[in-house]
Amino acid sequence: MRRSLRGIIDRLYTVFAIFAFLVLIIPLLHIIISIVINGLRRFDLELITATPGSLLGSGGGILHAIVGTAMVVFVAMLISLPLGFFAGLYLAEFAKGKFAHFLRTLISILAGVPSIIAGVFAYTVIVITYGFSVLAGGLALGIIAIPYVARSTEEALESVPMEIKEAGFSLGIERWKIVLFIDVGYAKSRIIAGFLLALARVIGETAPLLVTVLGGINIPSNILSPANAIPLVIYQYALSPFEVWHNIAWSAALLLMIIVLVLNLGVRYYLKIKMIY
Amino acid sequence: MSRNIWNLEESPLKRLVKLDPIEGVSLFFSVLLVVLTLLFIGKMIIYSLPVFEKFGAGFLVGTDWIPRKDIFGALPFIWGTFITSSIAILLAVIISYGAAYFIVEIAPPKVREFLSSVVELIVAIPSVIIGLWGIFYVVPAVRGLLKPMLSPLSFIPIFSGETSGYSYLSAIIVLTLMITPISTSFIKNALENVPIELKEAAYALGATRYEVFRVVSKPLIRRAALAGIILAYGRAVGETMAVVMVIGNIPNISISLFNPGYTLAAVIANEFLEATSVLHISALIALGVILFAWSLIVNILAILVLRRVSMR
Amino acid sequence: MLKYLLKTPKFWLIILMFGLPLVFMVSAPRAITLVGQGATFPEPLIIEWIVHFQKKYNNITVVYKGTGSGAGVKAILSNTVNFAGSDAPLKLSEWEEANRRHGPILHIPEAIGGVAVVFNIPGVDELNLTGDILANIYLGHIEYWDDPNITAINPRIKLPHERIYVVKRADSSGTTYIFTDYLSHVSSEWAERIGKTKAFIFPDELGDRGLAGYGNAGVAQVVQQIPYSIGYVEFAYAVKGELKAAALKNKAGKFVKPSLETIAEAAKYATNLPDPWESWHNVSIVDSPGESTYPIVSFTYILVYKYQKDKTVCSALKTWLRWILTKGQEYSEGLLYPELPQNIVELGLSAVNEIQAEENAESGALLVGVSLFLMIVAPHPKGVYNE
Repeated sequence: MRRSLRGIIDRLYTVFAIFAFLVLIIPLLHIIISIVINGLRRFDLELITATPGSLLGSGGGILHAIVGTAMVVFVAMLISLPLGFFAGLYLAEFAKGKFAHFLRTLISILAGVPSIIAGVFAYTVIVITYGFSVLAGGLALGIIAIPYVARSTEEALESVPMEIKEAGFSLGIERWKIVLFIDVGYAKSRIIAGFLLALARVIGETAPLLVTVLGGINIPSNILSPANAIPLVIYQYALSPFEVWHNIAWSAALLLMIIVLVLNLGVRYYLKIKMIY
Repeated sequence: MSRNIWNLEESPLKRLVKLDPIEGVSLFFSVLLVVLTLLFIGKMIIYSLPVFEKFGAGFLVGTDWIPRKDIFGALPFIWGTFITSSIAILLAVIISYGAAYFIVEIAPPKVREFLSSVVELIVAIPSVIIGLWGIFYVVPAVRGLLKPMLSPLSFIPIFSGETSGYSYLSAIIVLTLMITPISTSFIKNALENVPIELKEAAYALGATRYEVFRVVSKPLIRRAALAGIILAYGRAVGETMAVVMVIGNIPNISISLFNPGYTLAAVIANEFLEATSVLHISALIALGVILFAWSLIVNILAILVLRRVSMR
Repeated sequence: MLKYLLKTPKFWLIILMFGLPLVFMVSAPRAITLVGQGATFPEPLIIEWIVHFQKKYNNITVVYKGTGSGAGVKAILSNTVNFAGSDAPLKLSEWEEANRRHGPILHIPEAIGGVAVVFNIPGVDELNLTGDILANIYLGHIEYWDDPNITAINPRIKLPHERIYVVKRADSSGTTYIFTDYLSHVSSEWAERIGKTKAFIFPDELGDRGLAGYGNAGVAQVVQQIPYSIGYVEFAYAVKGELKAAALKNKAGKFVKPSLETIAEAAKYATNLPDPWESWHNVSIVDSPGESTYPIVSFTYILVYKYQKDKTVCSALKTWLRWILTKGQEYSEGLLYPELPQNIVELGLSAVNEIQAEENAESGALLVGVSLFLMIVAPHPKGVYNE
């Protein structure tokens, strides 16, 4: 090919690449800007301290959803952390061929479960007998979270340098102590980062909650109480014709975004700090 | 892949007896997880059986969905999921390569990390928020901007017809936005890991930046890129909220992207709570099983393909 | 290993961090929860009621989900909710099934509402329509807004040559029931082809002009967003959504727009109402006579069983029902639902008095763990969803 033609192609691709990047970034900026601008309207103290109020007034706040999210995510973590952590631990430390392969495949399968199906499952198990509840929502979100926790735990433990394990081995330390203190200890920050990222992932999930928690205006007091959640209330209010609720939806979205952002950036920052030695 | 330095040739039974507490606890939870997952899958399959009993394989190609009359056919939803996720992943791949190339090759090295963080940020945005943005901005844009812009092309079937804005196109737009960052970050990471010596050698031979990318980098990143694309595709197939808020939720099968449509995940989310009969619930769960199987098949294909794609 | 762990402070920290909230969540007294599901028709009013009711009775939690009358009926038939809301009275077959499965079921009119025919035509604020034209629009026979049938009764309005987007309810809906009840009254073709029903599919003639929304809110939003569309929503949604409502020709031949007064007029013609314990499948107040009566009006009902399983739930339920029939009515007009006439209030109250509890049944959250496992493991027979 002639030199100039090759140069032109190179420049064309450069233009395309810039264009592609902009196509990706500009909508993102638009989303963030519109959330901020629309969300500031109701981003007030009332939003987080009040329960829904009269449609004839300002519409109240989303305290019920904030409490609901906290409770549902708590249950989800309660379910997914032990299951995910120990599964990841097992795969990284004690894996033995067929069972390990099977377990890993199953975790991959779980990772591919569409979130709405997790909700449907929780419905058939819990809602049918105990009704719409925090527990049902937590189970659904827990199912979604398990693969994240398991994979990040496994990866974190795999990153432990062999020398450290061998050093412990050669010192005659019992196996369980090596695993628990040395391996987990070394990978602790990465493991916790994995937990927090799983949390950040499920805190924004809506589909499974649609069929498990009912989404009323009460503040849940008990694990079997029906509840609402921040992403769910955004959905409900966005789909309504009431301007009052649209405003709250945007503000709730702003709140949720801030939470998710803080979690994600916080994890990144936390890892950075821990890695400096 | 186990870095197991403890057991060398012990039989499983012997190992079971020699279990130490940590291994025991881990094993317990792992088995528990396996049991629960199998029960999950089993339960879903059992619940979906009634509708297959009634319609047989015809359920998969049935075009009518009339819950009131207990008539169920999955095709409109399979079509919707297929069309939206296929076009979305196509666009995502094209954009991803370009954007990753930009971040790694064009942008100044100092801003590279910042830019990739920004791109990964999109992945973290909950889908309901993207749906919220979609209702108030994308839908009106499709109706007021894109439709008029594309009207000269309306002789092409996929651009024909009128639109309310709630359409396959709106769903494709939000899906593309949601999944592109996933494949972009995989490709970008892989590009960064291409050994600098290889690239320098190519430059030394007089290659342009693009030629280095095409000839040296692309083949090397094939594996990682494919992994990222598969992941992105899986996300597109299973995405519920953003799609349900902008697609119009009408179970029809149409070629025009401007028409409203429906996807597997969307119909389950909308109709599950109001399912009025055993058959209706079974049909919805069957759609879920189809959805589940879809991502499973894609993952299996990915593993098969990845095995063939050479690494180095 | 355990001995060691017990001595580690971090271990206890983790136990506390997770254990303490869990203990609270499991042992916290549950406010008595009343769960209702169903019609979106009265939903704005019910939401308002819950807000004020809970201020007074804060040990009772009421949750109401607007899932559509169809879902509400299904829920009460399978007894998965304490009460259901439906604009459509139970069909005779449904009523008989309810009685068979869970005992006598009550229809309590909780509110009256009108179904507004809303439209979105840029630049047009007023529109006259007749029932016949409306039926033809929904049947697909009338395609453009400037169709001669429409322009004939709207001489002073400039209607554009634009296709009409027709919006219906995607879910099973009592509002659809009321709307189609009216269309069946005024159009024989409609009565024959579709009839009065909670859900219908668009006739083929509509082509790609048919749209659907979930819930009254969904339809309102679609009409809001889509120019040249027409839809039907409960009146409060039209006003709150700032949608324009068409003036319909009533039985007396007058074009009447929906309003508190014109809707309330229809209630005057609600005579010969059955006993709340009887079937209400024949009750209809659409297309009522009267000069200033709005034609598409209906009661919306609370469906509840006479026999309740739990004593505390039963008394909470009765408190709630009595409150909405009395104090609750004060909020109705603010949200554009006319107050219930006194005779109907008394009808409802007398029926509520007869609700009674059987025995006390309490399931503690502590049983959850064991039962949970059994639930996952136990094979389910088909048809489990209904019980």
